[in-house]
Amino acid sequence: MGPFIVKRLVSALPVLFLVSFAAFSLLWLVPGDAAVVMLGPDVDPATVVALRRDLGLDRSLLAQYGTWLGRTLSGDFGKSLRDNRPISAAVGDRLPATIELSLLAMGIALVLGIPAGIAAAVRRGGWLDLAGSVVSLSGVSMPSFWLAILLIILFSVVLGWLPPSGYVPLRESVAMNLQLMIMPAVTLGLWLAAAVMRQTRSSVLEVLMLDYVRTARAKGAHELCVIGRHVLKNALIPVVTTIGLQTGRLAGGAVITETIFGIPGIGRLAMDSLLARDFPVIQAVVLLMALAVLTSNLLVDLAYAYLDPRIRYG
Amino acid sequence: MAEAGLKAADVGMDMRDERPAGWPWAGLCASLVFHVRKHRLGALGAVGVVLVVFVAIFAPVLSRYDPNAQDLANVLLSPSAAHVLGTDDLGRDLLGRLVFGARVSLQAGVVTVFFAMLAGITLGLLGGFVGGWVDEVLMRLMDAVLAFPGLVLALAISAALGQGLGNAMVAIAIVSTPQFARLTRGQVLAVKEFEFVAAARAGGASNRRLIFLHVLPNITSPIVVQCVLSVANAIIVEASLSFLGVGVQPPTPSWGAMLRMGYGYIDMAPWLSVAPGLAIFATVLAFNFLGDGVQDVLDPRRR
Repeated sequence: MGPFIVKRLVSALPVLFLVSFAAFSLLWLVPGDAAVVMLGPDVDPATVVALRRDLGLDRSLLAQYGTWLGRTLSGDFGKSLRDNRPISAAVGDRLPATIELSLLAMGIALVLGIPAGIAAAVRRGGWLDLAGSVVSLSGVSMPSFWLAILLIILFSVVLGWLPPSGYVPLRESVAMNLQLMIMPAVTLGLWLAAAVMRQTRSSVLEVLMLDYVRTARAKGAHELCVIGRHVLKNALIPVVTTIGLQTGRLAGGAVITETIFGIPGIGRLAMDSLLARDFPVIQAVVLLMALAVLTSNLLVDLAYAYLDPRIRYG
Repeated sequence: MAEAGLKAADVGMDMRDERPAGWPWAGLCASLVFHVRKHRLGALGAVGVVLVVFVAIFAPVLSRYDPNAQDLANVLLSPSAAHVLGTDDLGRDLLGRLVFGARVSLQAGVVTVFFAMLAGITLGLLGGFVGGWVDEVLMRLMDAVLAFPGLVLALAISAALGQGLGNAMVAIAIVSTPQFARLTRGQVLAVKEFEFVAAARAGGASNRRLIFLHVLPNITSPIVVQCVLSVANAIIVEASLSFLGVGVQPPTPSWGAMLRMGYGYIDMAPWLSVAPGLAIFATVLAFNFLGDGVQDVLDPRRR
C-alpha cells in the first residue's frame, strides 16, 4: 500500500501546480486594468497605483505567481479588498456552516437514496423501477435554486412553518440551527440522493447477477438476507465512492444554497466576493474548493486501492 | 407496442438502405431511431426536446406580446386571460418572456456543448493517438480543470471576463471540455488496439484516414450520449449563472434571470417563481430522459 500512496501523491503534484496557477490566473482574465475593475472607475489614480503595487500587478506574471504561491503555501492568502480582513480568518469563520450543511445533505442523500436504489434494483423493470427512474432523473434535473424557492414558498410563505432564511450557529441553539438548516440541507441533499439512488440501483443490479448470490439463494437463504448480508456489502462500495466524488457538486451547490438561505458559509463568501470583484478572496476560495475536491478524490482512490488489491498492483 | 417496434425496425432498415454506401454512421442512426421509439422515457425526452426547439424557433409567432415591452400600469398582475402567466415587476408579459427565454437556454446549451465537444474531441484524439508526453500534459490539464467545482469555476471566469451571455457561454464551454477530452481519449485508446485499426495501418492508411474513417465512427456512441447529457448540464449552469446575476443581463429574457426577479417578490407574487423554474426543469429533464434513452440504446449491456 505504501508505494501506491507515494505514487498517487507524486502524480497529484503536477495537477496541484496547474490548479494553483489556474486559480491565480483568474485575475489575468480580467479585461483591461484589473485594479481599476476592482476599485471602480471613479477612484483616484493614486489608489489604483497603490492597489496595483500591493497585488504585484506591476510585475511579470511569473514573478507575481511565485510570490503568491510562496505566501499561500505558508497559509497567508492575503487580505480581502472589501473589509481588509485576513482571508484565512474569514474562511475559518465560515467553514463550520458549510461543513454542517454538507454533512446534513449527505445524510439526507444516504437515507433517501440507498433504500430507493435497492428497491428499484430488486423490482427491475417493474413500475417501482420506472417510478424510481423518473424520480431520480427529476432530482438530477431539478435546478437547486428552484427547489429552494419552491420549499420557501411552501414551508415559509404558505404554511409558515419554517423561517425563509437565516443562520444560528449549532453551539448557540441546536433547535434553531436545525430549523434554519433543514430547507438548505434538503435543497443540497436531494440532488445527491438522486445520484446515490442511480448508483445504488446499478451496482446492486450488477452484484445480483454474480454467482455467489445465486449460491446463497440456492442454499435457501431468505431474499432479505441475500440482499442485506450478501449483496449490499459489495454493492455499497461504489456508492460510497460516488458520494466521495461529489465534493465539487456540493461546493457548487453550497454557493447557490447558502446565497438563497443566507447562510454565512464558504459558498456565500465566494458569491459575495465574486459580485464585489474581490479577487484575492475569489482566488483563495476557488483554490481551497479545488484542493478539497482533489483531496476527496485522492481519499477515494486510496480507499479503493485498499479494498481492491488489483488497483495497487495493476 | 410490438407493432410499433416492427414499424420502427422497418424505418431503420429503410434509412440504412438509403444512405450512401460506406457512410459510417448509417447503422448507428438506424438503430437509434428504432430503439428510441421503444424506450418510453427516451421517446418522451425526444418529444420534449423537439417541443422546446419548436418554441424557441417560433417564439415571435407563439407570443402575443413583445417580451421587452414594459407596461408600468400593470405590474405584478396575477395570471389572467390577458396575461396567462401574469406580468413581472415592469409589467412585461411573463409567458412572452418565457417563450423567448427558450432561445437563450437552448443557445447556451447547444452552442457551448458544440464548442466543448469540438475542443474535447480534438484534445482527446491528440492525447489518445499521439500518446507520450503530449497525452500526459493534456490529461493533467484536463484533471486540473476538473478539480474545480464546475459552477464555481464558471462563476469565477464569468466574474473575471465580465457579465453577459457570451462570457457565460465561454465559461460553460471551458468547464464542459474535459469530460469530452477524457471520454474521447479513453475510447481512442481502446479502439486503436483493435485488429481492424492495425490492419488499416498495415495497409498504409494515413493517420488522418485512420482517425476519421476508422477511429471516430467507432467512438461516436458515448460521445453522442455525453453531448445530450452535457446540454442538460449547460442549461442548468447558464440558468444558475443568470439566477446569481453574472449570466444573462436585463432586459434579455432568460429563465434564470426571470427566476431571480421572481425570487424578489416571493411573498407578493409567488407565481413569478414557478413558471421559469418549471421551464428549466422540464427542458433539462427532457434532455436527461433523451440522454438516458440514447445511452440504453447504444450500450447493449443496458438494454
